[in-house]
Amino acid sequence: MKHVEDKWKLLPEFLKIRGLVKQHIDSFNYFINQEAQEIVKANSEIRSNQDENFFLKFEKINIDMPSIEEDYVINKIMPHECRLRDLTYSAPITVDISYTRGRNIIKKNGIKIGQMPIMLGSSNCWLNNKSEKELAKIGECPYDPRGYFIIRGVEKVILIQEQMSKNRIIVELDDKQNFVALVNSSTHLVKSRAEVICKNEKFSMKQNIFTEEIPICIIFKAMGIESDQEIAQFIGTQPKFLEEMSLSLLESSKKDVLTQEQALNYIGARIKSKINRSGPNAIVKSKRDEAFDILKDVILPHIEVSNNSLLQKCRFIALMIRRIIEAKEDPSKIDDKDYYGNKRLELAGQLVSLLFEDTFKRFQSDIQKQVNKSLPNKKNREPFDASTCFNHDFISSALENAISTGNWSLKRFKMERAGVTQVLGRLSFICALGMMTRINSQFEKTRKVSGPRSLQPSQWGVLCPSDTPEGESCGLVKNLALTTHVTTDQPVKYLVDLCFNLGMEDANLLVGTELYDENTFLIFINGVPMGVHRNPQKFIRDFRFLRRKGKINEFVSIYFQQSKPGSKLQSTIQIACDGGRLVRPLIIVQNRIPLITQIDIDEVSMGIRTFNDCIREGKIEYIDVNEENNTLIALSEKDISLNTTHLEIDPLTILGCVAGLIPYPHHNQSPRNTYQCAMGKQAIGSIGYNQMNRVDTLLLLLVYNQKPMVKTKTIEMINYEKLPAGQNASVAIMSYSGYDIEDAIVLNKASVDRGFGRAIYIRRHESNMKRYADRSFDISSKPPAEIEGKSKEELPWNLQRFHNLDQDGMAKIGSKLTKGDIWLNKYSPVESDDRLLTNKPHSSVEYNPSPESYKGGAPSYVDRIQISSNPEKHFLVKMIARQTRRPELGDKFSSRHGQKGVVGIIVPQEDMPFSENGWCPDLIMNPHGFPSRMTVGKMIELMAGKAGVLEGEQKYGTAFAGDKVEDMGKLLVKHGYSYFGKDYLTSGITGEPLNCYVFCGPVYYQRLKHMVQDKMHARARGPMTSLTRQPTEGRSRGGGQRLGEMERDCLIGYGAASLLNERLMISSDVCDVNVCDKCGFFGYKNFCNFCKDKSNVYSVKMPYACKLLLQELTCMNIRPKIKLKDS
Amino acid sequence: MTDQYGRGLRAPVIEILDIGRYTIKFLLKECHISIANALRRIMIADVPTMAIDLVYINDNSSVLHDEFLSHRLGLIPFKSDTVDSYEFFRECSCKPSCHKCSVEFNLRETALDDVKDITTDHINANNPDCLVKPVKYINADGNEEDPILIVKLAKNQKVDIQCIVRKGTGKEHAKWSPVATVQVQQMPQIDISPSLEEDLDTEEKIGLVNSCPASVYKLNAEKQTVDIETITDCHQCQECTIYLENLNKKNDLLKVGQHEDHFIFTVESTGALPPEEIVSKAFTILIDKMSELSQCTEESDAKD
Repeated sequence: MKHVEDKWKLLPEFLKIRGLVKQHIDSFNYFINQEAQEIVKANSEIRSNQDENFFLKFEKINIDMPSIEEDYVINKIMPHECRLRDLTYSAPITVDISYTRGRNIIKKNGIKIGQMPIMLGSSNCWLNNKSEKELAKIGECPYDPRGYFIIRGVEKVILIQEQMSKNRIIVELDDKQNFVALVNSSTHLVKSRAEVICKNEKFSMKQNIFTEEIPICIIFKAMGIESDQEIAQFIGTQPKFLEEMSLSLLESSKKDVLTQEQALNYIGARIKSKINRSGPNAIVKSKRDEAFDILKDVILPHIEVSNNSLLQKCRFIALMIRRIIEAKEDPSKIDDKDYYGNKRLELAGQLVSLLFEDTFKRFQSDIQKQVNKSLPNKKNREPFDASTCFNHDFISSALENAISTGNWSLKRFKMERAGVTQVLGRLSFICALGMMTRINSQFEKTRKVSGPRSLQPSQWGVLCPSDTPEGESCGLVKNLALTTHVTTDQPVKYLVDLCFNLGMEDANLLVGTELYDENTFLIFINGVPMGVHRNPQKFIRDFRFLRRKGKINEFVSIYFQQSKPGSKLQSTIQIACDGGRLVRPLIIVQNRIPLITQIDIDEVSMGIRTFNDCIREGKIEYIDVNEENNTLIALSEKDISLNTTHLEIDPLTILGCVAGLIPYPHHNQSPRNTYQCAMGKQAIGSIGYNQMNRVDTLLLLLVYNQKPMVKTKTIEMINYEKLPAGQNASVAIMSYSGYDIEDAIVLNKASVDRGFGRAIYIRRHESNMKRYADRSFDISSKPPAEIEGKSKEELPWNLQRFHNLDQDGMAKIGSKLTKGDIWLNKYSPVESDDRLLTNKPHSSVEYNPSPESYKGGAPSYVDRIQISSNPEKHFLVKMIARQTRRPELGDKFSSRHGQKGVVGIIVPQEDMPFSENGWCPDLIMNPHGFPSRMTVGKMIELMAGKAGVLEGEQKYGTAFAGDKVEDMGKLLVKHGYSYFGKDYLTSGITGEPLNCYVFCGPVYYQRLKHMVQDKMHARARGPMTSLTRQPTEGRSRGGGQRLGEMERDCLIGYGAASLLNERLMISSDVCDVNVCDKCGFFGYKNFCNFCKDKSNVYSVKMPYACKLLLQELTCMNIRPKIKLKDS
Repeated sequence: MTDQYGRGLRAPVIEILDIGRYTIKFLLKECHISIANALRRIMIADVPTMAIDLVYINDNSSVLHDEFLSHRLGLIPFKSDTVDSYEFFRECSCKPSCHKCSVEFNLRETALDDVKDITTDHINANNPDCLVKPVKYINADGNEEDPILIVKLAKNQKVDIQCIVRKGTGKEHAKWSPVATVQVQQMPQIDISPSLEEDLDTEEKIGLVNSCPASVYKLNAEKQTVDIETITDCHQCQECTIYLENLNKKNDLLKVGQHEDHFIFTVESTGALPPEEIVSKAFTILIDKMSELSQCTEESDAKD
């Protein structure tokens, strides 16, 4: 068989059209271009109960390109301007409406109803189809992942939310070990959850709207299936089904519910009474009608109801019962909730659409209220114009607030979710990219079950097995794998028609016996039984054929759910086209030959054809988690056997983009890869090409970034080489000096001098010049004239803090700011109430100084000062201060293998060991880091790196592939080095040779954001809290080190009473109080106010906190009494 | 002790193997390892050169910020042949600075129409007669190499920088180190047993020759002996002995070791000083240090 080389070359092409952040963008595009329209269509009319003829109809909605209206001028706005000016990147939402004014019908087009935050990179974003040059002009980085929003200058990501799939039956055991079949139904209008529960051998239905569980047969009867025989037929006529149903059937007759009317009345009596919608025109429904409406609208709303016939719902409920009966017989039929085919991912588009729908409805009811108020008012000469009561801010601010706070509270669905959005971490490029692929699970973090946290086999290929945080959210927060795509909703209608054409028999025409016959196979579309087919294999083959031919959408999945061979249970065909499923592309294999040929790959990598062409030609298809069960996927071509249906594009795709940075991850112990995934996000590096123009609150940049000597294919695909975060350090793995214990590393001072690990630390300081109600405003003014031409040292102490101010009252660019220096010499007007009234001229305004001073510990330099404005803050000053930090003792470094360590000592170059050819390490790592961590990948990285340096090229350490150690060893020998990568080193201190050979070579090292300068802290004396007079807590407040309970216990055990007394009282909150020995109360100024006497008052030292406690007890009418004793 | 370390018993000899514009290779014979190492250490850390130490930035609109630029400037090697005529800044009696301890340079450039590379060629001394200046590298063919790039300026960007060059040593900052690297290796010593000739057949001899990654050995075709071609290339990898071990021959056929008191030095200069100058200066400094030490010990002896 001909071997196809470089299948992986398809991956970059795939990433161009799908994957990583594309799902965010696709889902948002879907919302903007389709769903928004549907939402408006579903809620198009507003009518008034005041005037029957009144109507306001929303015909069409349109979301424009982002723009902003300032001073009545509409300008288009670019994302970078939003970041700089704290604006929202949003586009106006306009609608076409028609409504009645008086007796006329008026049509208006393009009425603005609000602003919609726009996702960067979506179809409505200015950044689309811009060349690198054009992007540079508007201050944008071409490698930015996009897919996030900019809300008031802050970049926000809507995290992918993981959920149980909607509209599917899930059979599980409840707390009391009863079998339950539950369905979470969700449509545009309603979200509801229905359960069929089997208690004491009887089936009943549980729903929130019912006060109690309703026997299932009553539900059937209320839905119009009156005869018991019919009910039984719906469920199945085999003896075991009849047996299981017998008690339930009995129950309804016992309750004397035989007809539909009786059943409806029975249910009607058990509906939770809602708050009475009282109103003059409120229609009062009978209990019976109410029950019917609930059955129609609330129970299983996702199933269509045609002509008030609830037959389809009955069939669905029967199916739920069947599933329970099957599960009772065979416990393996209980659904696995953690199985990834049962999960759906909710993306930005869906979440925004939920929000928009809710907001739009509230917006309409707001208009309705105004209409109702204004219509009866006939006194006005002009007839009432409904278009005047559109409130722009309503939709804009609701959307903006939700995205900026991350609180999704939709009252209609009783949905209250916090933390849906997060600020896009801009610590490094990888941090931002990693955030875009993150999946947040709705599962509670506190519950102690391991199921949802553990790695499920069904997550293979779609979720990264390495990239998850440690600690409380371990396994709940996940990341997408490299080639995963998340589907969006697809229309169902044409699928149903297609199924009929393929020979499906309509379920509506069949009764239970025929539906569940052993030789027929039920066909489900999105979990709803649609019909049966007698030749499932042919049906599925035809269906897949059509999909590969492009007649069916590529993301529609079909799979054959086979029952266990021995059991008599029915096998089914499941077709899914709903949104939120995880799919990944696979090469199709037919007759042991992969359809992708070398020619295809060459053409794709040359750019003649795209990845989509391969899909269109039916050579690659998307397979979702469920359909994967019907496939046999070969990892490589040599594994292809007779039954193989698909071939992986490349095994590296099972990892995500963050884990993809690790060279040789398959040689590491798995937790090490997980640690690196967490640390890769903390590495200091480049953020984007526009990093120097950004105004983030905190920005950490590396001065001399390098591409890794050992790269991976993933690194190339995600452009890590363009925005790297680390340096290739020459590493010697040996013990040196004893300052390298516990993972500490030894640095070469000369390397540090020459720029190793040098970082730029940029911080933003902000100040807002306010405008007040009395038309006065803050001003910035020039510094005192005395500072002119003098350096800081020459100035008197009280003027020193003004020394770097310029004539505009702002710090000079490039000047040094030390603690306390003023960077904005701001003055605020003195508040006066009479100015407004007396209308005094502005010249008379008095000002108080309110300068902004630099508060950081270490000195910084002023990098930039930006003055801007936005609708809320009209004079916004941002000062960007910069520091350059060279590595120092205690700064944290890490390789790409979860091997972090702090700098233990920085050694002069002449003391470092050196090899005979003059090589000298930048960094020495202790070999004790290896045995227990088993990071063999790091050793291979070192060898490959060394070989690469000698060859003058980068080497590959791609997962499950990469250059082989053997070849690396041979290359080393070729260049005159030892095969094993070891070198002969000489001690720099004595000049004597070291007693052993040392493993030396380049390893890519990352500098992590944790730096000593931000953490070091000491205090002798300092501030106290006012309430307890004890030292403050925390570094930022100059707090003390707490001698805690356990430390105290030690001292008590040891018997060091005086030390305790000194630590806990004298050095803390000692306080002299007067105590009256007679009454036991506190006295004051040697006088007891209780006894009105000063003879028994003594001075006592006690902790202030104790004194406070006693006094507070006294306040609560508890009398603490102090008894004194001579010591 | 004096037998081993004392004066007069040994007479170290230097044999210069190779000398170039930027490198010198010499053999230090009959010298104790401590002296050889001291020499190496001094060359790295104690031989003074000139480098930019203080930078005044009057204007900088380039993409690199001030500290970045200053750091880059500091690392530029300066021709320091006249370094002895300057004082260490800290030891100089002047207040802010004077011509005895510092040399002033300036870098004033604007990119007028297109991207402009700012290199060491643009660093001008305030005093044109100054002998301290950025190094201009000359390659093997005798042509001048491209100057060191400092920063690229885009159109209308400008730098206006004043630099002060001072004398210093590598101990304080690596920029003052006159060497890129100093290689010291103990002279390898390979003893080939006379019996090797008979014990190995031709094929095994060829294998032995090829086993060395540094190609130290050469097969003498006429005499069928294994000769040592370039002993200095041996880096103690022991591949040859491993090869023989695998052949299961007698152990003492080949012995790879090192000459205890022979050292091959290779000094690579940064260009600040000629390599031979670095070595001779290192010796002077070493002697100064020794005499200082002996002076101190004599003083303390006198006290006792």
